[in-house]
Amino acid sequence: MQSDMLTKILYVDDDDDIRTVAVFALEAVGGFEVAACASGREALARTVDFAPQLLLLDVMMPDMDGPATLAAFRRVAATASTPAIFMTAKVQRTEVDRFLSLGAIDVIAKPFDPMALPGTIRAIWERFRCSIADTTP
Amino acid sequence: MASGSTNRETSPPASVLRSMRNRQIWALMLGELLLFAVAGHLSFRLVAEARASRAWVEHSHEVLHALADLRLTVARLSAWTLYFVNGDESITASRIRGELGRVQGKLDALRGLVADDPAQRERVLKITEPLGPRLDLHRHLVDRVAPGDMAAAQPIVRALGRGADPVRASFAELATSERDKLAARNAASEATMQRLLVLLLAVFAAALLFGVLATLQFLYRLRLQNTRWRELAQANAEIARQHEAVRRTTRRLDAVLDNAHDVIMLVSGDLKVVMANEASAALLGASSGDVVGRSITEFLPSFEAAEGRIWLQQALRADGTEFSAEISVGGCQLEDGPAFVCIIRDVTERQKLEQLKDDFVSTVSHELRTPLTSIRGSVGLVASGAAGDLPVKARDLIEIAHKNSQQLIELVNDLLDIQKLDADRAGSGRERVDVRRLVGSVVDACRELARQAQVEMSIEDGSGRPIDVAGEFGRLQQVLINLVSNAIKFSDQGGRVVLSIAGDETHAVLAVRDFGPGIPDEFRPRIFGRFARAETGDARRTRGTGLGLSIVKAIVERHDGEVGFDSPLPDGGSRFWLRLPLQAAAAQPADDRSSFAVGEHPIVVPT
Repeated sequence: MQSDMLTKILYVDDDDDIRTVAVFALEAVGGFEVAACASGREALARTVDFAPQLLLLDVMMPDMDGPATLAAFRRVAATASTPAIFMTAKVQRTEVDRFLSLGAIDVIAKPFDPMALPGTIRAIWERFRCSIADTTP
Repeated sequence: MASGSTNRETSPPASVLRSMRNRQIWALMLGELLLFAVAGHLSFRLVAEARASRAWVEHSHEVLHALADLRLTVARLSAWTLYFVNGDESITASRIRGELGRVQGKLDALRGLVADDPAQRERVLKITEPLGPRLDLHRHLVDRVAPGDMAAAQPIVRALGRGADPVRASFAELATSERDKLAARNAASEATMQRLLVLLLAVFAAALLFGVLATLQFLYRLRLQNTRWRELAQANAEIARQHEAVRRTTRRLDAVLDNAHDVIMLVSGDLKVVMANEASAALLGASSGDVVGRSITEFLPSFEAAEGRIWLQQALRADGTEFSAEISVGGCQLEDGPAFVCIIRDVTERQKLEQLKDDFVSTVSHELRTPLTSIRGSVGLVASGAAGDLPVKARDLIEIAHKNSQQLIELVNDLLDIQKLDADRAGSGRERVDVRRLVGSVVDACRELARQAQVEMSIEDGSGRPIDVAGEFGRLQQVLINLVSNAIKFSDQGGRVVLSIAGDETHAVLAVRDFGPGIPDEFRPRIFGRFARAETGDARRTRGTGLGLSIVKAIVERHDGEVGFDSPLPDGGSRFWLRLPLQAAAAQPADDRSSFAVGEHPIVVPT
């Protein structure tokens, strides 16, 4: 199901401006196909017609925050094992560990450099692919 | 004792004087009395001797006088008799008889005077015996012979004449012997009196001497007593003063201990509580009396007796509940060996405040960073041309906006970093960090910056073996990235920056070397201070918050390391070095947090 090349990203962030910037960066600079949603609910609805390879989730959101959104995705068969990256300004060590323990494969700090974002995501993807390859027999 | 002391300081009470058993003084006083008795006796004898002497003299004179008187009367008698014989009409027989009677009377008187003294009687007898017959002759003459009858009187006159000389001689002899006797007697008496007087004077002198000695002894003893008494009183006063001082000190110490907010305990070498202040009731739920004798580990489960330590742990109350406590331990020496002073402070409130502050910082950082993300993101995209080409003027303006938004982000990052470093005393987890991997990741992270500044980076690896330090990969990476980016910033185009790895038995030494202008003298002392920036007048080089090196220093010191610099070097430029303790064995190997680190601390600064 998951090809080696990363092309489809589902991105969730409640801040319109950040979303605009990020989508711009990911599409125009990174060449990804991005489905951007303003809330966890919207994102869950979106998975019906968009099968993401990677979830990019803002943490601080009203109603359903990042972790809650991820938990919801995990309950859906289609996205039960999709790798997820959290994006947040709260990057204290303890919090990072917590996010990782919730099932994310990495955490990207805000503010992020939109020019570097695609490269960062690709690097994370590669690393994840390698670790998958190591563990699968 | 305190109230009557002023009086007693000057003289001892009467009872003390009475009780003075001084034999010497009593002996002296007795001697004195004796002498006075002797003197009295001598005086008495002196007076008696004087009186006796005077009496004797008077008597002697009386005798002599009587004798002279008798002689005179006898001479007158003889004369009258002659006149009678010569027929003088004025001298009658009756007158001569009268005179005879007077002589007789005087003789009797004389006899009477010497009646008591045999010697004198003897002498007087020599007069009176021959005198009797003579008187008879006179009487005979007067009775038998008529006045003027010289012929009849002649034989009697002749007889009288013949007897006159012996009588006269006797008179003279008596007088002389009586006078001699008187003189001798006077002389003897005088001698006796003189002797007595001398003795008396001697006795008085002795008495005076005794008296002086006794007085001196008495005064000396008195002064001694006084001195001793004064010394005693002074000693007492001194003791009372010291007592009071000790009491005052004890009261103060008690006040300090019992009113301190923190629990202060004295713990013996075998970890038993020896003494505790009142605060233990409030903090530990057990009064100071109950706490004594129990082991300190009942309240501080992981207590390690080490002097000079301060640490945080959960403390236990008597009822089993816990609270966050800060423990500080000092060492001391008691009579029975080494002991500890342990102070327990309830830091629940402080930790709450710190938690609040951390939460605040966390929230603020998020709030600040959110709009910054949008700004930097959109401006960056426009500046990179991803949204299309820009008119020339717009390009410059966008560039300005991009550069400044970048700076703003750096400032926020640095400020929050410092705040985190300040607040985070305990430090995060330590991992084993491979120094080579660390340096490699730093070079990777700075590659783009170096390329844009046209500066070449290289690594010099001094030691051949693996070097591991204990620390946080991300933080150490932050430190080196900061140093390297500074080196790049201060290098000219075409310059070089060299990272070197070296180490000895105990430490790893990492250095970043540049060949730039070096560090100006006036900047050197401030270089690791906050908001310190070199005034070089070069806009490119003075960019930055000035917090970078202070953060570097804080991180390195948190890793128990040292950071320093050498500048200017002989070949030009500066070298910044870190010394970090080697990690022999650590917990778990560090994950590569390069993506995380890069995301948090972007170092790409498009010029």
